[in-house]
Amino acid sequence: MSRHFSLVSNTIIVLQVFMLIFGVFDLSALPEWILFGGKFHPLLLHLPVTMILLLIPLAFMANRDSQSQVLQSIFKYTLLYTTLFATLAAIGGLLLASSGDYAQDTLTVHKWLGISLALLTHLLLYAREWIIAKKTTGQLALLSSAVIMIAGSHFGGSLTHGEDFLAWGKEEELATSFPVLTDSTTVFDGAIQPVVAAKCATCHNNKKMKGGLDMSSFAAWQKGGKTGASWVSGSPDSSLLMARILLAMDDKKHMPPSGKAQLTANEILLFREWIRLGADNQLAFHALQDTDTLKQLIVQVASTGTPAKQAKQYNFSGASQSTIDGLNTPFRRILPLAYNSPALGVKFFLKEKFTPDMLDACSAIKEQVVEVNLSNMPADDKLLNTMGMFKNLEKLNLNGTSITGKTLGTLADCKHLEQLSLAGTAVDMNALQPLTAISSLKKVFLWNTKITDQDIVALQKQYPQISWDLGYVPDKNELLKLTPPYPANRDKRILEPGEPVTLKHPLPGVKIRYTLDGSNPDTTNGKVFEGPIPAKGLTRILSVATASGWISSNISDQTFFMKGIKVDSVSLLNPPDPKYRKFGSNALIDEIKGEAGNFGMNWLGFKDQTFKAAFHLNGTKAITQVLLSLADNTGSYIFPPTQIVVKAGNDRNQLKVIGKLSPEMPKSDRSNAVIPYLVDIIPGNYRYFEIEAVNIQKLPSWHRGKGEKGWVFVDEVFFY
Amino acid sequence: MNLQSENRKGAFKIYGLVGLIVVLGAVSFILMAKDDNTGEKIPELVDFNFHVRPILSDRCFKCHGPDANKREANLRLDTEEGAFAALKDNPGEHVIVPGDPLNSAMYARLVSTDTSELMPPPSSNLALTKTEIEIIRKWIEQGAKYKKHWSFIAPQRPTVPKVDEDLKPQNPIDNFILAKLEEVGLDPNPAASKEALLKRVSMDITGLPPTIEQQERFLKDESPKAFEKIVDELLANKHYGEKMAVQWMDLARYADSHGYQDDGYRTMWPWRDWVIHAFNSNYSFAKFLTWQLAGDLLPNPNKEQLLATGFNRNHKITQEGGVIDEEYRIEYVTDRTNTVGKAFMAITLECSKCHDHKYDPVSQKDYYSMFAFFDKVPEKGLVGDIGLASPGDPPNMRISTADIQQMMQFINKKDTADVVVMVMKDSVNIRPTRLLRRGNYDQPADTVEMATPASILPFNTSKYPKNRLGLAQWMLDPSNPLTARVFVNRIWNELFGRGLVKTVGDFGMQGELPTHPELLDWLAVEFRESGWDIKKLIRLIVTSSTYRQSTVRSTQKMQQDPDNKFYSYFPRLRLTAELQRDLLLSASGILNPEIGGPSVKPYQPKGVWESTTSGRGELARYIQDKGDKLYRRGLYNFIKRTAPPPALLIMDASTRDQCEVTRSRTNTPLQALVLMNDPQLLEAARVLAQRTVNMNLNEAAMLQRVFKLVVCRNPTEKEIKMLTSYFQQQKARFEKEKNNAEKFLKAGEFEQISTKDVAGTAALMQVNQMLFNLDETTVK
Amino acid sequence: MENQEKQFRLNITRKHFLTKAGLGIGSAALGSMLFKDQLFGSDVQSSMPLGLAQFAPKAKRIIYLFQNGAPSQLETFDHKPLLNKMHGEELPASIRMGQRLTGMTANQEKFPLVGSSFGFAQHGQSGAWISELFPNMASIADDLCIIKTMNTEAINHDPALTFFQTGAQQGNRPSMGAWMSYGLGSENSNLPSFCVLLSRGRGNGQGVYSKLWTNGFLDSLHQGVVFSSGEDPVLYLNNPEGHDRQSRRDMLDQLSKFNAEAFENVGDPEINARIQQYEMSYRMQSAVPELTDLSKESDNTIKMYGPDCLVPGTYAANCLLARKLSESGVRFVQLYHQGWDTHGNLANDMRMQAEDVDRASAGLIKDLKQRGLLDETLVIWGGEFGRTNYCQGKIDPVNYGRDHHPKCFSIWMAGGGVKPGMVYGETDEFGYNIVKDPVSVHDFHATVLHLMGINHEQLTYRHLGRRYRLTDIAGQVVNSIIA
Repeated sequence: MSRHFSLVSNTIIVLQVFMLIFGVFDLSALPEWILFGGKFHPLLLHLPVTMILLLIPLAFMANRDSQSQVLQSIFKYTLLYTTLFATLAAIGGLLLASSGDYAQDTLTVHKWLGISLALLTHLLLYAREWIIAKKTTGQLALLSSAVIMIAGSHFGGSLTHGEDFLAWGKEEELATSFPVLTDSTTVFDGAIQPVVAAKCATCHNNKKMKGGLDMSSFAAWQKGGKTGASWVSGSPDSSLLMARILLAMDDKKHMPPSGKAQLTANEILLFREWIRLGADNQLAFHALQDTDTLKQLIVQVASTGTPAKQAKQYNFSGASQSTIDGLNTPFRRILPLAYNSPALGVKFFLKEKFTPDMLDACSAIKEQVVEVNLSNMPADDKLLNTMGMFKNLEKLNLNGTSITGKTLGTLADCKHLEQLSLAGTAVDMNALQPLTAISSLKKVFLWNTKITDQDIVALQKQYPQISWDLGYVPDKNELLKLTPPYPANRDKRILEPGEPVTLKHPLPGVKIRYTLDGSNPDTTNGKVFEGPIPAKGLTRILSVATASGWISSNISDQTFFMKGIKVDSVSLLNPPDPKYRKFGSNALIDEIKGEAGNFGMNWLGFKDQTFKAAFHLNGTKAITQVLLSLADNTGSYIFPPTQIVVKAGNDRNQLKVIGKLSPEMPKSDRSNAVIPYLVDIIPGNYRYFEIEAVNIQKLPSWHRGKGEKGWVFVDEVFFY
Repeated sequence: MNLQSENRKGAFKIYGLVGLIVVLGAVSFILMAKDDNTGEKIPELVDFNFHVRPILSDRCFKCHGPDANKREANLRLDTEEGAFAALKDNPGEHVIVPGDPLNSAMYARLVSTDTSELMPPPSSNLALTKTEIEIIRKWIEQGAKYKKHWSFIAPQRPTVPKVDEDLKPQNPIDNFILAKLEEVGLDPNPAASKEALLKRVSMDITGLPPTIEQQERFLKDESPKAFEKIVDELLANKHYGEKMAVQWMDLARYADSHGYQDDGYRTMWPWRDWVIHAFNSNYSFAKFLTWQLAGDLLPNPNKEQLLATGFNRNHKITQEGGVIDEEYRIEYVTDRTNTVGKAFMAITLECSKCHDHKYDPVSQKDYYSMFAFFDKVPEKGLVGDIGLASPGDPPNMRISTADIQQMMQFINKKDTADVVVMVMKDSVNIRPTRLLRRGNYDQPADTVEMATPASILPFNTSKYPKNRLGLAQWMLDPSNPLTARVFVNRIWNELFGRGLVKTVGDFGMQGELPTHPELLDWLAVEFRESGWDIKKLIRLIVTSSTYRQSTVRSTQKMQQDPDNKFYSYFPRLRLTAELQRDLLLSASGILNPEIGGPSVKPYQPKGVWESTTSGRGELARYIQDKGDKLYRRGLYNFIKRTAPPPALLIMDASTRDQCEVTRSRTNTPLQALVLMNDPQLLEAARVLAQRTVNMNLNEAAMLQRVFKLVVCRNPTEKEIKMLTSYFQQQKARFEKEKNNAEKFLKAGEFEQISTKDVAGTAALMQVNQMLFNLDETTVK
Repeated sequence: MENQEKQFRLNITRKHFLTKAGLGIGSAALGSMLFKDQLFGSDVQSSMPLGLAQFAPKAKRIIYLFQNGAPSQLETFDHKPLLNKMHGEELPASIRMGQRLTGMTANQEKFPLVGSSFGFAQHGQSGAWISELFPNMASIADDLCIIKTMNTEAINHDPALTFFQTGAQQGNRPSMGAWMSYGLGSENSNLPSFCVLLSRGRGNGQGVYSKLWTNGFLDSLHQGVVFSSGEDPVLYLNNPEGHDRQSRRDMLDQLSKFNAEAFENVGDPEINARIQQYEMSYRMQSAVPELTDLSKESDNTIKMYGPDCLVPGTYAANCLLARKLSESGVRFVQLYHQGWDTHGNLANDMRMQAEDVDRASAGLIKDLKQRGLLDETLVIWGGEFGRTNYCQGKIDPVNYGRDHHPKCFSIWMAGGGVKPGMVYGETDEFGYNIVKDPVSVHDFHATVLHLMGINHEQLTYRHLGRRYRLTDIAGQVVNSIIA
């Protein structure tokens, strides 16, 4: 009994020292869990309040009959515990205060009143004989403490406005919360009022009537505000409420004001419909047809919760950040599922860096880990033996690991495992057996494993509680078209002299057939590609890819130009059209191909005058062919030249015609292309050339520009 | 009786406990103390500009600020009248009662616990911190004195503070800096080593590293003015203009393409050549500014003055067929307005395009009055689709070879064809300028006249003409509070990596306050009174002992001055993208020093242009240049806005999308990849290696030489040792792997210089590459 | 080594947050759980923690299949039989209601309605109408959440694309991916947290531009990294000729020796940060090739995405690569596929475009699903605006074209917490105006951020004296499409 007394009174001393320290310093730096203690302040404070009041009569009785040991000790212990609780209450208060959401001055007063109350009661505890002895003064002392207490609690009261004290952590934003909809709930209570409460009543309530409007109750709201009634029953469009809501966001009169939580589209419609149906606060939910827009709206609106509330709650506490930091490396990433969430996910990166002990090391956080992702890591069956330690594991991803499934049984310890990914592993039916014992298991992913579609049917039948996902299984009857072959050096159109062409196809086991004569290759026609194809000055390769189980590819049509004899200089004898001359005469010999469709680049375009250019080789060279690379785009009035004339000689003033070509004209629209025209000339040694390509002077009658001049576009000229 | 004795026994036991408690107390004390350091202190005398306005501006002006449309409860806190007024629903109460926080409604609202009363409303997530609330309280208590925003008060030359002469202030700058250091109890750093100083100042003035000759000359020169000599030499160097041009090009959003989707070619490079020229011939800032803003409005302007106005035509121009002409024309005028606001006034005018400025006293009307200056251009929003796109949309000027010979030799035109440059032109009665509701081109409201925000300095039409020329004069008016401050601050920022006002582009209320207001004003006035002499300003700053400090950071400075806002040491700043390239190319001796001319297309990874283009236009494919064009300085790199040069972009270069006054300095793995694998740099390392090897020096001398060239100082004993061992390791490797050595040495198109010792050359190339990547190499 | 890595990660993050987000947020992101003040940072730069979702996210990663050029809603997901009935008749003015037109059709005197030349059928439980052009997408109808009531403010490609990616038509704002990277950090520090993949279809193309994946005013750390089909999947990734991992390792070791020396002398923490960036780049050099190597794909995968998926630079290959990147923890993979700008020759172009994207898009969903990743990966498919219900140019029996239409268009989302098998919103029978549940671009952004566990009003960045948001000053989360 006396031990008891001294124990408690010692505790009090300890606590009061803390109380004083806390009183002096800013506590906000203390850990969350300590500060949580503050939430109990409102509980504790009521104890000393009542007890002090109790002490007064007790003391009175005690000194009336100073012999009664009973009264003495009742008084003594009441006083003892009053002190204890006063102290605890004070400490709780201090902790609570540090959350800082309180008016500072009021707080300070309250704080020190609280502290002094605790100290005073403590003093009285030691002076209790004196109190009982000294009738009046003693009573005074007690009364004064009562006064302090009352004052203190007054300020305290003014500080607290029924916030939700026992909510853990930070306060969430005021969110619309809807009652459960029963048939008897009225539309008003069920849907309108909650929205109003959340988004209007904060400024329009009985205390604070912005614009003289009070929306805290239907009755009050009906009265309307300064600017008049909120609604005209039945006609939302002439209702002030709707008008204000629908005003532009940046309009001063827009409601709710910008910066405040806005109404969602559906909430607006909700008001609208409700007013349309007469803004009746008695209108019951069940009175509405299911098809009724209002009903649907209510269901929709009332069913949207706030995000924070949807978060899954975990009952284990978070791991210390230092532990997490200690485990985090570029190869093992540990992340909380969300800010402030105790649950952790572990993910591994970089095959070459993975070692089994990287998982074992996570035992420090085994309680918090709910997701483990080992996909594509060289993790084997042994690794699973440690997996059991994650008691709260929910998601396990083993895709593409080297497990065979032998040890999947160990997962039985993961009582919360819901989802298991085994795609691309060697697991088979027997391996899956033990999984069926895990009652929490919902989904198992088995794509690209030994499991067949028959197996799946069986599993699904036998264990319907789990969804067994086999993923995509190609349809035997569905044949897909192969992609066409392409040259190994994709964007190389101009070849070095003697350079061959190599064709490629990404799919192994594909056969490539090709022709060089312009005829279409197919499964029978054309050579099978076996090695690099030797090229000439102009080489056109048509190729197709074929393979069993696939539809042959479209034909790929590739033209290659071999670099010809070096041209020293080139000059244009007719100016190109101003819009298409940016690249200058050099474009003709710069060995850069223009692209069909982009005439802004590398092309020279001629319309008003023919293409006519002079080329000088350095020294006379034996030439047998001249190659012009021209654009062809009937849609843009670009036609083949009606005639190509090649003159040459060794005296630049006396050139004679050594070759001509009259290309065939298109009979109908045809798509973009770059078409090479190879002109065979009288073979010989030449130095100076003059080449003219005559653009069509009258477009054919089938063309929409019939009668107009056509274009000639040149991008390159070669000499062989 | 026995009660008492019992108590004493109890009391005995207590001592142990008390001891424990004292310990605990101490612990928690330390805990709190530690935490306190991180929290700001509340000043003795609360100053409106420096302590209160930042809070009000940031948390309150959004709804109770200059913006009349958004003003709540028709209460404004940005003016005294507004703040001292009685509440309109309750005349008894006042927002602020000077000297009496508890009776000031404002304070009540700040500390209210009723979430519907609390200000700022919780939903705005602008809550004030405890400290901030306390500052407000104290300010009201101290009489709630309002002041005009500091940057709107014209600078006066402040008296230079006295400081201890032992600290050797070189010029008044140091007095200001030292005085502040003394105040916060920090010592300045000693001067940096001559070598370090030389690299720093040449990178800062010419953007090129010192040659070995320069290094040795400067090291030998013991004369007291040795450093000043070098500075003057550098300022006279023709590459100074290039260095200065880079930041001006960012700010003027210079580029070589039009910038929207089908990104056509444009020829604004002659304007860039002019900027270089203007800096080199040290045009006064007054002239520099006037010509660019209003060269065309000067009495019978010459072609050079016209060219300068290209500044206002560097904005993007669309070629997307089908856009609405007026929509884009408005965009262009907007861009000019915002750019001028940011570049010369450091005011975020753009914030008042759609509504009155939320923080600064700039109304929407003010905005469109500024807008009006740039709205008289006879231009179209869409000249033509990419097919018709021209390199210079009207209004423009043709520059012929003759023009260049006569008066604009600084333009480096390559061929005989004229070059077309976009310039400014006003057709006075072309259109009335309208205020645009919500900034929408299709919601014109009242007509507005050309004018400037009165809160900064009224536009006195009797004093200046009503056009851009007037605007230029207004900016240069001695009573204009911004122009001089903004420019000196920008130069300071360029040199110290941090402005005296950190937010170089925002001197408004949301901007940061100057760390050294007096110094800023002193420099501003000094600059203006020097006749806006830019070179003089730079000389003044770089010859200060503040600039000459070493970069060493003591732990004390790391704690007390982590972001160096007191300039207690010189910051180690990573070189900007262009300069990094320039340094390495120049150190390797392959830099082509040619100045100006059409932008060039050096090496660039395949597909950067090709994968983004629609396939239309002459910039659809990247055709890399050949020969010496590959080795031009970074600022000549062709900038196609829709696909800027990746190597530069990765190094934080500007996209030139809009006016940029500061670049961020980030640190990413991609930067490491560029420095290690960019063929341009491999080539530089190779050529340097081949040339050095052929000098037939001994190993140590060879390594010493490349180190000096790249790192710009002599290596220490230790470093030489490390270099040697690495060189030998690599040499051994390449001797084993001859073909790798050859492959490695193939880097780049620069002509191969044959060397006897292939392995040795490859090894040296490897060493060079390592030196290129040194942290020290990449900082100034 | 690992220890060193960890040290650096702290350095970087700390530096990054100190400079960018202020102490409070920074340490919150570091998750220093001890100090309350720091947790609920006193710095109001941003009231959310960086580097972590604010509340439990529905999706951890995003793959955005952007159909650049604007596919017609009327040939994809918005079935309007009336248009076929009224084929050739004039668009009633009552429907058009003065909607502004692009320069391409503004001076057209007639606006003849055109019906889709492709059949529609209902698919899946949801009975969603899907055009015959997309048989594979139709086969996964019940995984899709089709939004028929997207609408935008822009009527031209550049502003519309920019608006969709950055929340503003003009200016250099950070793109969605950059915001995600800034808000959520990266899962896998060996890869960029925001990757961009580009491809071009056979239809009429509209270019893309780096502004669409810019970091804007955020750290360039958050810039989208373009994966190219060339030999260098990431620019400058490959070691120079004649180099291997070992010699690169040697150089890095040498480098850190020298840098460490420098750190001794000047004590600038930046130096350590630098050293670590080099280490990271070294790791990236092995992380990336692990992903871009398509040679080991199973036959099933090839059939799932279509044989194109083996040809680098095709849409199919990008879809496959997107899955691999996402699977390896890349927060945001942004694809752009050109060729949907069907002003003319629509029937033909749409068919070619559909051929190129249908199988691969569906394949991606199937692939994610069968790996158990669909529930944590949000996939988005759609363009920058819709196309007019009337013909651009003369109506032609076999062919027609459609101009840009901002007032309604269709996109779909799948996985990552959106309701599967849902069709949201209604347009009028002309496919011109929205009659129910409009979704603006800002709403779209707000919703996507929400799915990633971020309150769009709180992910802010302070720049030039103003707090910027992806959703600017608007945006409502579309709760009805959230599972």
